[in-house]
Amino acid sequence: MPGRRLDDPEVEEKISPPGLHWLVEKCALILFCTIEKKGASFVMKNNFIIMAGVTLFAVVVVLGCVIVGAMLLGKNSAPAAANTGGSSEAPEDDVLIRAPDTIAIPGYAQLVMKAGELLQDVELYNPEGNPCYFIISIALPDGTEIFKSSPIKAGEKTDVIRLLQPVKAGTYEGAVMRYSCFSASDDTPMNGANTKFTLEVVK
Amino acid sequence: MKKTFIALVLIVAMLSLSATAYAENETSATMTVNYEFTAPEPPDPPPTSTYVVNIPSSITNDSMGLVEITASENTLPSGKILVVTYDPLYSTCNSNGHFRLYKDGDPLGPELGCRILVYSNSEKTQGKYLDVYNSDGKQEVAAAFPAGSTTPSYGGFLEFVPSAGYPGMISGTYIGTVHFNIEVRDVG
Repeated sequence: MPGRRLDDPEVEEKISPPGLHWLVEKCALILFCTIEKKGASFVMKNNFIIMAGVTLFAVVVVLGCVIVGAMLLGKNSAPAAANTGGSSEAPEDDVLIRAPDTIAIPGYAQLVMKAGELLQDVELYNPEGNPCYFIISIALPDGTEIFKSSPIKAGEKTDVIRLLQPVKAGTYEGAVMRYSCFSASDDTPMNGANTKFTLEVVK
Repeated sequence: MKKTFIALVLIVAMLSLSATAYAENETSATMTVNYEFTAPEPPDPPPTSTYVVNIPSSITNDSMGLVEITASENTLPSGKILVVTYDPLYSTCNSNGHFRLYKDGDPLGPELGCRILVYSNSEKTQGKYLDVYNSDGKQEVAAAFPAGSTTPSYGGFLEFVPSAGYPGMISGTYIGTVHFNIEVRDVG
């Protein structure tokens, strides 16, 4: 690039900070050439002072760069450390808060219960992400209600249920599990569903 | 001698710059970060349901349009089909079973008729009224999912069409709730 001077800002930008090392090497080379010249002790003394100053300046600049770099590194790594600070929660920005416009209704082809007992190992649940809580009731095919749950929030489940009355052994085809759905935000009724299933009651 | 000393001083100075740079790299490379990570408890396995059907959550005159009934899980054995129908017993409807919307959801307040149409595609071809009994005396099917499929073989698209209203009708939000019957049937 003809006409470009060393004090041109663009040139300065290119030589700093890697150019400092190059600059020191060049200066040392000049010094070596200079001290080989006989009878130039005055010049050599001046060069020595200049070179010493340049070297000292270079050391200061390099050390400054190292300190600034270390500080910047510390700043960059700080948020990463904060993000992994023992919490499994996603960052606030990643959370999508939006009410879903559907309700997931789980259904069973068959449930098995024990005859004559009130406590039954039956797993009922409200799928994660539903905008409502469930009140689940179970009725025999003749309409007799044998169970009604307390509110089950989205993501919750019950492992054991307590029947309103014991059930005799037998196969009840067309038993009904009714999902009554209520808004999690204001308790208003939402759409719901009846799921029909076969209830096997064993001795 | 003096020349040699100066040269040596400069060489040492240059090497120290390089050594400083290498040392900085070396320090960064071996920096140790200690972090105590406590693994979360593994979640309980989800309960085993045979199917999961997704129904629209609510119906208001402010959010009319085409809504879908989908399945996100279907482990029915072959020879079975999952059938979704409209249930007038628990839906907001009149004595004929026709779907109704009530102002602010109050069943004693002003009401607005709203028919439900079922389609098998989003282009809305060959729609049928859902909130009526068909010629067999059975409720019309809203969606049917063959064994193992989460895509309906029939229906799946519902359109809620409110009536135009009448003179003197009070403006506001009219809300209704639809109840569906979901059952497993034998194919054919």
